[in-house]
Amino acid sequence: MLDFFTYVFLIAGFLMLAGKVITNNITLLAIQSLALSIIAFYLGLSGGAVNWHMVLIGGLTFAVKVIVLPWILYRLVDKVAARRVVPLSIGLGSSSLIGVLLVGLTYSYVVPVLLKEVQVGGQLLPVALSTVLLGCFFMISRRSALSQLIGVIVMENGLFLCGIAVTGGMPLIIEFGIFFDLLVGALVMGIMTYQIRDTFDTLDTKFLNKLKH
Amino acid sequence: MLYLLLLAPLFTAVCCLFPLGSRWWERINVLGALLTGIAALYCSLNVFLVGNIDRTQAFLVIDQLSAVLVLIIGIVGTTCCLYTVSYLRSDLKNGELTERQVGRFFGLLHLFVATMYLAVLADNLGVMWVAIEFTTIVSALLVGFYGNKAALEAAWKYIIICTVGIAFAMLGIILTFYAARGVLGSDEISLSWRFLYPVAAKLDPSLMKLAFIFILVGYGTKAGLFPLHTWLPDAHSQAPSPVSALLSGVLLNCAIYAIIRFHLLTTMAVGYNFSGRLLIIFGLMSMAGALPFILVQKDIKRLLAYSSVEHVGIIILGIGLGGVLGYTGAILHLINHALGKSVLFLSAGTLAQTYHSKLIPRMQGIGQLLPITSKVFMASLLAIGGAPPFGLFISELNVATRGFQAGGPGLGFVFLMVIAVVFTGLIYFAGKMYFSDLPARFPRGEQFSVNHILLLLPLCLLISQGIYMPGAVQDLIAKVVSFMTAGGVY
Amino acid sequence: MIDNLLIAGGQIILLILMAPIVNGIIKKAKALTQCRRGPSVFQPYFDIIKFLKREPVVSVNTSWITQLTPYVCLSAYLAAGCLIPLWEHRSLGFGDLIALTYLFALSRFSLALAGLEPASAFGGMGSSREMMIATLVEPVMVIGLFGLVVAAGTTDLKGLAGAGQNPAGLLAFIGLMVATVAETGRIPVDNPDTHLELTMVHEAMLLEYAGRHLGFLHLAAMVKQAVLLILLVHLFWPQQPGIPIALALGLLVGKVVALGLLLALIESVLAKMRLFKLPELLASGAAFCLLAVLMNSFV
Repeated sequence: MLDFFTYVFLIAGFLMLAGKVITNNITLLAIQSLALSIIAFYLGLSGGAVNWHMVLIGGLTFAVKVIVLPWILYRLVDKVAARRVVPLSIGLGSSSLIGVLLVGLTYSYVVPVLLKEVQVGGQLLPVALSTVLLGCFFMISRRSALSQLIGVIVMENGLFLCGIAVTGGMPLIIEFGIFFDLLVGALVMGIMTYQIRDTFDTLDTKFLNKLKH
Repeated sequence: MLYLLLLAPLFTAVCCLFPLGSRWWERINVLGALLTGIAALYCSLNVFLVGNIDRTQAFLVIDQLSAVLVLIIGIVGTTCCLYTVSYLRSDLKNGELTERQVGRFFGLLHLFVATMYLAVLADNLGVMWVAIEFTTIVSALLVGFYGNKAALEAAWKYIIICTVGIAFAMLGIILTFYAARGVLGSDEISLSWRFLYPVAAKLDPSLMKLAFIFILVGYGTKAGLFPLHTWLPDAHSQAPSPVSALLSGVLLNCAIYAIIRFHLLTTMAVGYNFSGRLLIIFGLMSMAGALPFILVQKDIKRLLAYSSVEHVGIIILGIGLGGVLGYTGAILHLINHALGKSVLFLSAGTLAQTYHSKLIPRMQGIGQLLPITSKVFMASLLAIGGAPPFGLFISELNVATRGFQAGGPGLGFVFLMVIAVVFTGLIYFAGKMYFSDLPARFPRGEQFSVNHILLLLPLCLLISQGIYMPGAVQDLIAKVVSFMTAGGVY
Repeated sequence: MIDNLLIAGGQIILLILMAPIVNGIIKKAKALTQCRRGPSVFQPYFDIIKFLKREPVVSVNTSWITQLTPYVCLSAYLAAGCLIPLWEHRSLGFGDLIALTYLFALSRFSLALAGLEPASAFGGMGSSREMMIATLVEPVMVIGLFGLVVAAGTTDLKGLAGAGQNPAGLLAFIGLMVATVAETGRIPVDNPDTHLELTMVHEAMLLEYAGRHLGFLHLAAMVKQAVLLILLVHLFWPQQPGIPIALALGLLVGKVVALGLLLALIESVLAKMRLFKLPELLASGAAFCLLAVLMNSFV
């Protein structure tokens, strides 16, 4: 059960690399965060005693990342992106295959070799780390400012899952702080995206190249 | 008392968000800045002179290392906040900003200062991370404040690169938490500096090595280490000058503080060579990497930004080399660079405003246009280059000596060569700016005002450090260094 | 020996009887989602019987390839269908997964040649498009199936029953679904209902045929679709042993129809892709299959 949702998490992150339409990417982000909150709920409610910490975190993830953030992003897309298709710097086919390469790298090298001290069973840790890498690559392969914002949120999702997997949840105050950070950060980046569109008349970051050496 | 350091700037920030008119905003700003500065001085001197370390408070903790940083944030922060008043007045006059934006600027400025205090004072690793992420967000708004194309580009690059970098730092924190959990159990104390340092030797070495690499990549992005420094010249040059001064002088130091803390932890867990060697490599790379860009610059603020990269390299090199000399040099350099760079940015800001341009070829004859400010500018430029009567010379000498001792003649030689070439470059540009003729269209002369006292104060501190350090100050530094060499244990 | 012949004969008859109705149900489902009544579900039977009663007409400029191809195609797909154990995991033992893939390739090859033979414009175009799609689809299929082979440890179809039921099977399922859509020539890869030059791929190769040759080719296409769906059911949703044969076969047909309805859903929801965008779609499918291989090998 847990493995199923972990794979849904990974697939959602992976499908983002295979598409160009921004609204689909936001939907996939919402699906990924939903899988994350279900994983948190599952970890909190299974086992002997109810781990309220995890349940609370799951609820917070659901509220912030499944409902609030995608809503903000959809509204931003409405205001900002006339065409819903994003310019790419690496083609779709190649980016899917590079995505597989990154996942393979995590599974074959990073987790067994670099992180062999970390005794965590199951799929959570490799999937989390591959999502971080996939989010990073998503940011690199798309040229739109909105895609870079989505990539940052995907990376944070991956980090969050890593935290849950390795440590069973960081202390609550830190989790709240991270959520607040993410929300404010997304808002600020959204405001800046709006300003960029106002000033440059496009969201294509290849025009953000005036400042050199 | 420590909470006052956080609450005062937060309160000032909130007040500045109300629509009050610029007179009131300026007054609130001045009051808030002075209050925060005095509180900072009190807290840090409390630690040094009285030796009063509060072991009971769990959330905000101050020890010798944080006290140094609180002192710097206090001095530089207060100076910049007070200087902002006249800077924004000229910007309003030139039509760069509207009055409503002035209030927002003051609010964001104080919020920025509050988050930096939180980063330095937090006892919990995770809270420190959250605070540094907050500084990124708030300062990105400040960097992009002017709203033109270059500023937005700089702000966007800054926020994206730093957020991604800090995300990697979070991986390092998770790994540290995992390692500490095995020793300390699952509670919050596993992330607390006070509890981590005493048990550091029991932490799993290979986990800590991996954690340190992630932390170095993460916080190194924020500190401006080569090759992760690409956001730095853009952000520091496009921001309004008081913000640049704060970014260069204080925010880089906060990131360095985080690296120092982890370095101390890793040294005790793993043994010396690993993290020290990494820091030496990155330090040298930053110095050498910034060098060619300094020599070909045309924009004065970008020049100063690259010089910040170089100086961060020197500090990191000093930390990596270690030992009494290395640490002394690094801490002194931390303080001196903050003081010197902030004065530089503030005076360069005034010059840029008067010339309506940031380009060096356009800023001819600064000595005739603004005699006092330009003299301060030249003096601080000499200071940053590492010339003798200023404190930076002493700190660089310390690091160089340690470099020859611990790293061999090659390392010391490279270090001195880089500093020498950078000095040459800075003098070249300074000469072009000062010893040239002023175009006829500018009005000459300048009145001596409060601002100049603001600029002269840190400069005098710098000079005093270079000429004669009173025994009390030497003791202070020695205490900090012994704290660090003992591995951060009280 | 007699046993095997009986089972083979039974499977062949079952496939021939089942394939048209599966196709009919898919067409009906598509029609219903498009808010029209659509043809009866038994229409494909009537179509094939109609074709079988007519006389085949062949161009004088063609060779024995054109006359042989309909039989080769149909028998290759039927043989592939015989490889898959339908009941009690009893396989006929004359081939494994690799043989299945090659049988598919054989019939595709002969059909492509037959499209080129009459030297008509449409036929050549259809063959070249079909070969391009095949170059992209076959790796996806093979890698996806190999992902499951890695999980099960054998290429024998009997041992592969239910190989997709581990969590990584989700990835393999998505990849193989993409491959199935491409192989059966459905939207978004190819439109099975059209005879327009712009969009034909499979139909173009059949354009020169008439009479019972055309009937066999249509039946071959339906059998191919049925075999692919049966393969997917066998890998991901196999029968439990120990139930009586009628029930087992009924369940099998039901599951195949369910997968067919999934195909119909995909067809109704998506639009046909431009031919040159197909590599991107199939690359994503390949990536999913690669992921499945990775998951299964490292876990």
